[in-house]
Amino acid sequence: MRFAFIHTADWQIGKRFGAFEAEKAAVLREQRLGAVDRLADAARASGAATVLVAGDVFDSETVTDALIARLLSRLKGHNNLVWHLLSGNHDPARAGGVWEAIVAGGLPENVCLHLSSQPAELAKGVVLLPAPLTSKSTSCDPTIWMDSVSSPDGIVRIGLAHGSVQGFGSDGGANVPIDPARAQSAGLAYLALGDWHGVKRISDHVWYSGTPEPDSFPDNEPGYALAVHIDDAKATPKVERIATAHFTWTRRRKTISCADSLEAIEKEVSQLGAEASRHLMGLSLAGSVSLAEFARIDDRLAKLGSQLFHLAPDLSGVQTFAAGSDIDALGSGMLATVATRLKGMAESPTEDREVAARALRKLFAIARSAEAGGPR
Amino acid sequence: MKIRAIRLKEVGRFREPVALEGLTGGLDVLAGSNELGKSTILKAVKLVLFEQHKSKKTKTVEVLRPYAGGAPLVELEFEIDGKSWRIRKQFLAQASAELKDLQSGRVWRGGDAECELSKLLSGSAGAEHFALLWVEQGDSLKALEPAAMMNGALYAAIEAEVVAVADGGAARIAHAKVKQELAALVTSHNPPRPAGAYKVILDERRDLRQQCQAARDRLARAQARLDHLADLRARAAQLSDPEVVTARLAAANAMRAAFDEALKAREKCRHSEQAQQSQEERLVALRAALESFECRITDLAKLEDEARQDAPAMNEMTRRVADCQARVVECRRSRDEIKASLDTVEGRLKALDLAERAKQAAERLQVARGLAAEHKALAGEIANNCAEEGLVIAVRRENASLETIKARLSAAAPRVSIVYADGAKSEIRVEGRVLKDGETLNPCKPIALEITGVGVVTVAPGQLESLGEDQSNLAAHEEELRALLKRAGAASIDEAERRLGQRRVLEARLAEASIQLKALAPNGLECLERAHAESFSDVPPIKDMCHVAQADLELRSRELEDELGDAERQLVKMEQEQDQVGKDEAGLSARVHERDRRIEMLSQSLGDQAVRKRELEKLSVAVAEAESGLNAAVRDLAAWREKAPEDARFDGMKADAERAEGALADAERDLIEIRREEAGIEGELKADRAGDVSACLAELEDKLASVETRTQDMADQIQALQLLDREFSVATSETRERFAKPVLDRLAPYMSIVFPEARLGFGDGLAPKELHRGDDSEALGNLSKGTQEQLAVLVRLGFGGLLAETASPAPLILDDALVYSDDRRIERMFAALKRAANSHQVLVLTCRESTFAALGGHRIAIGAWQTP
Repeated sequence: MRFAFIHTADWQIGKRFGAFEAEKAAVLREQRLGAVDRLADAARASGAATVLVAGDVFDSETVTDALIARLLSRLKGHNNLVWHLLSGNHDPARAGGVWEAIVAGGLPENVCLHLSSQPAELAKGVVLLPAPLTSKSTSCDPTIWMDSVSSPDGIVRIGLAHGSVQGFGSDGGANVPIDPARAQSAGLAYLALGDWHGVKRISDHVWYSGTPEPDSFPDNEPGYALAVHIDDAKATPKVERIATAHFTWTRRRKTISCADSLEAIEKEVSQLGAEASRHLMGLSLAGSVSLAEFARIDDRLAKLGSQLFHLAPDLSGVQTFAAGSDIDALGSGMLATVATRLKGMAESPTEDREVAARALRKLFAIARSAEAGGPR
Repeated sequence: MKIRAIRLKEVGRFREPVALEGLTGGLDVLAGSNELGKSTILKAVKLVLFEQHKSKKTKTVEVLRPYAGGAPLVELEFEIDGKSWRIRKQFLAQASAELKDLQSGRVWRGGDAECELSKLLSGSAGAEHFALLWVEQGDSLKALEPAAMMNGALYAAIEAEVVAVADGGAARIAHAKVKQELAALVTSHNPPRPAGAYKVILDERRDLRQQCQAARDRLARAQARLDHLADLRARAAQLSDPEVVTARLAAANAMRAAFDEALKAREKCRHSEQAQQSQEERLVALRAALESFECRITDLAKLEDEARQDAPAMNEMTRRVADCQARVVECRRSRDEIKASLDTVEGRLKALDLAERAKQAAERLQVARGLAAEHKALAGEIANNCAEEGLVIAVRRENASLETIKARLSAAAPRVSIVYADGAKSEIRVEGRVLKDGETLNPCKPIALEITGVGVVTVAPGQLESLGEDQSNLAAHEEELRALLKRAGAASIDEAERRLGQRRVLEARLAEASIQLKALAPNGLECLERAHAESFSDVPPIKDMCHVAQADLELRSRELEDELGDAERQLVKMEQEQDQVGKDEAGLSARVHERDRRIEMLSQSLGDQAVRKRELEKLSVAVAEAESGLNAAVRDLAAWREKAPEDARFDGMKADAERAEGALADAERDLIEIRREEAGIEGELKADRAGDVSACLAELEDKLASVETRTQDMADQIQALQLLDREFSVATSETRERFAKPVLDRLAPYMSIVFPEARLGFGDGLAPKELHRGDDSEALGNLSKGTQEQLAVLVRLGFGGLLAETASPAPLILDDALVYSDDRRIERMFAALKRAANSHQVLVLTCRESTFAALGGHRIAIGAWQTP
């Protein structure tokens, strides 16, 4: 029984991105809905007519009705696909929750909700065993029931769950344990998991699809959906990752010694070309640089940030020092005197060294500004 | 730099070109009177050196424009490093600048001249205001004001040079920038308070924290609502479960049935109790009736025995009552007789008294009648006498007026005295009457004296102005007098007086009669007549008592009164005895009567013997029947008590039934309430979704995190700026101190001249702060004005010496800077100035010509500027 479907999860519709300025946040929010279209494209490209969403469709239980309506409208728009939605820890299926509102409002025909642990037929010979979450956290494995439900021989059993696979060390948001051996114990051809935002293979039959549209600077690989092809109940499913992200979120860490240390990053961004405008970069810098270099680094970061959609620089690991040339540049006199004193304080093992270092940077910035003849 | 010449045109009071020529560059002195223009010269020097020729600082330039208008032109010849220069600037109209190297002849004009001049004045260190020191009139004191103000003057004068030697002002600019940035973030309070952008972000953080907390609260409430909704739905499911509902209903019905059965049994039991009680009461009543009947029979027998025993005593009591009554009647009769006699005697005495009173009344009436008649007569006489007081007074007045007029006329009239000579044969006649010898005439009108045989002598009174008037008045008064006399009924005044006297007498007598009559008859004579008539009617006939003496009657009256008293006492005694016997008799009668009544009553109620016997038998039978009935009721009650539950159990059964029914109602009510609450929560959850409280909180927390980071960053920035500020202040202080020492070193020689063994202390901003003499310190503000100005000049001398040694010497211009100094001090100041002039130019401008003569130096004067 051949069956193809798209495995996705963690859409986090309604996430606010409050740490971003309003305009960028609005764009990021919109792209979460945009991911639905890209998933539909991925399904069509893979020849799949079914999309399994393994939980956390919504970022919270209190998403607005308007946003729900927009999502359902989009799902309905791709009426050649059947969307199977599972409740996760962000959007548990409980009384008064978001799913109840959706049910009350009416579902499009091509949208199926799995809010209770009941087998559901996906296609002839294919049954879905959903393990919806009914609370934000639970100490019980919601997939346990799958072991006790039997199916006739030859039926392809596909599990759909949201939680943390034990022993995996995953750092998902849900505090819901899932036995990674469930696929075997319950005779599942495939266990589609959600909660971990990056693509991750747990085993041949157990995968995390990750979120189709990244929502933070990851330590994993978000921005994909999985096209899963199952030939029969016992075969190893073929899993293909399909890129679905609009924005690319990358995290870079760089040790620097001067402004030129940024060259590689700048080159990387430069090579993105137009794509840079769909790039978000978290750039953590570390190292020790002179004050003059620090000012240059600051300038180059500003230039770099203007090319990207968003640059989140972290300079907390950068230590500055006043080189001899820095002090020389100040000339003799009081400025140099002050700079020398601050240098001494910044290099001393006292509580004030950070303050002194910052004061020193400020002094040079002011001196540079005066030299340039303008305010800084 | 040394100034060699100063030339002015249309500057201040110098409308015409003037010049100060031949300055030596050492100690140059311009002494002149007030309003010579000395201060103008100093202002002009500062203007030409430090103001651009096209300067917009209109105040600085305008103040030097002459009153009549003009464009200030200033030319300065000076020497720097051995080279001579000349700068000429015109301000305001046709502004221009020209700098000339007097040795090479090279000329710079306009902006080039300004640039070149600036370079010259900057000296080797490249700073402004390097080239000149000065003390203006009154400035020395200002410069020594306390530290806050001192910085503005002395510090500005000194710091620029300090800064110029240091690093070109960049540090000051940087420090100012630091202060500016700090001021934009915190206030200058101690401790500093948030301001500007820092305050804004702190406020933003505070607001976000509050909003986050509020959002958390809202989310918590939303979560609680969700949890509560789940509970409600679970409860609703439980309440509406059909099996549970059926079981609840069946239990309630069973409880109710059991309770009803128990209730019925208890009701029966109650009725049995009532029946038993009724039987008991009946038995008690019957037994009481039997006992009562027997008691009454016994009582009747006892009463009849008592009646038989009391009969003789009753008879004796009746006899005694009759006896007492007879004695009382006798005593009353005796008393009444004596009383009648006494009344008779008293009546007679009263009659005698009335007769006497009537007699007296008749006498008073007689007198009153007489007085009334007299009153009437007197009134008639008075009425006939018209000579009233007022009328007679008028007569007198008229008479007096007449006499007065006559006297006046008489006085005016001639006095003609007739005196016949002895043996005169003729007679003198007037109006036919012969005048007698010695007769005097006062004619008021002309009279003719006829002298027989001689002729007629006419005598006319004098011409009085009022003669005519007096004569007419005289007639009027005479007419009036006649009328008054007529009214008074008199022919003459004497008669009128006499009649007046008579009237008075009559009136006196009338008043007396009225008084007497009033005493006798206060209410009038008629009333007295009536009273008299009445009193006479009370008097009994006199004729029956005429033979009885009043004294005898009174004696008899007293005797009868004594007898009456005895009789009264006897009667009282008898009556008391009668009362007592009566009471005894009444008591005995009452007892007998009561007993008879009871005997009668009992006899009637008991009937005869046969009836009594039958009644006794009847009562005994009834008692036996009642006892039997009671026994039956007791047995019945015991049977029902076994069936009915006791109180506690009955109450429990009732409570169970009520509880079961209550549970049914409660379940229905709870279900309704749950549905209602559920609807409410669903509405609230819808509102939560409308506000997306969870996402809102996440967004706020993200924003708050960002703001916290920015706040911390800003706080770090503030710390850094504060550290920078402190370091700049320390560095500045150290720099100043570094230059203060040289200043102090240069100042020391001058101090030793003027203030030996004194030491000047500097405060912030290199401003002189206090003067130390031995162990004492005195703040500059507390010193005398003279000492302050001396110290101001000495400090500038010290700095001038420093500049002369370290950079380029700057001339010091003193414009009447020592006006408060006494002779001794000024002498010492002169010594200091002379010494200073050895290292740099000192130009003294003073109005104290004679005092400053001792200064020496090169005297300069204002002369004409030959070629402007």
